[in-house]
Amino acid sequence: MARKSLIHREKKRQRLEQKYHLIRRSSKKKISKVPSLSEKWEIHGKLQSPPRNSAPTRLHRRCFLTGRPRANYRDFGLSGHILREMFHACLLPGAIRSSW
Amino acid sequence: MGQKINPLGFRLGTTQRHHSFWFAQPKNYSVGLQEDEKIRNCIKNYVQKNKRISSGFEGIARIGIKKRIDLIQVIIHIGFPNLLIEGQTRGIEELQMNVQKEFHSVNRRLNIAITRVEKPYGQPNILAEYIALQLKNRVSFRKAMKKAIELAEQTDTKGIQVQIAGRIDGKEIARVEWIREGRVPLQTICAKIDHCSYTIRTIYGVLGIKIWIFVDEE
Repeated sequence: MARKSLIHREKKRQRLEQKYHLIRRSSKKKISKVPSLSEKWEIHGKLQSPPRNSAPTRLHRRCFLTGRPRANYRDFGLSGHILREMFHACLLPGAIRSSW
Repeated sequence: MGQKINPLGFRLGTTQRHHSFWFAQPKNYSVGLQEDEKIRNCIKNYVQKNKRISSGFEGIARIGIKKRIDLIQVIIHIGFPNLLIEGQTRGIEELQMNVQKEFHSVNRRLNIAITRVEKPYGQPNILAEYIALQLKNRVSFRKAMKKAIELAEQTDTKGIQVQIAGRIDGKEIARVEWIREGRVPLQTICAKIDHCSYTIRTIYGVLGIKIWIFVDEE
């Protein structure tokens, strides 16, 4: 089980990212529309001003049950080992063993 | 050496049904899973907390969850539903309120139903809890296993296998002990086999109990 502090760091990043999401999106749109270069520098400065943890690239998916940072599947939000355990406990709707 | 696959997972498409039964697009699948986890944990904690009061043991055999757009239907299959029914149905409503508190969604109603399992000792989960209780009371493990098998035989199953692994009797060297009665055809997919894996924490460490019950041959 991952350290609680790491899981909470992720949560903090998620909160910040949600908070600044619209601002970032509007700045990005503007920067691609505006013709002159100096204005682009200005808008770029604005893009740099929100806190770093609000950037979506800094998010890292974790397993929602254990917080494991590796081996996560986007479809389930789970890491591989827990996925297998839950599968055998018949808790994943529609998942069956594949054989062909 | 061969290792055994979990018989429930092995039969999932054919003779075994899922305990959670709903549909979701891939985007929302993980959200649905998280909801399911919350519901199940809530129910188990509630039963665990109120178990002290009733001092019986009620085994939850299964928690089935079905979801529709506007409704979440939770069916709890329970072996000895004393607490939740005799408490003048206050138990169920309290449960419902507890679970609803976890959910901030207003769109979905929550409906909790309790079903009584007809042969409680034919369910491996309940049997495992029974053995766990016995082992906690320092009964010799072989007696506990035999008693459990007897109870299961009374509910006419066609075969049962019980396995205990770990520091049996607190001995230093851990070992695996198992007893089988009747037939338990693990390789036959069309044979309905119910399985449970349960852990007990003792002062010497952790014991693992596994129970296979051969229910039916389709």
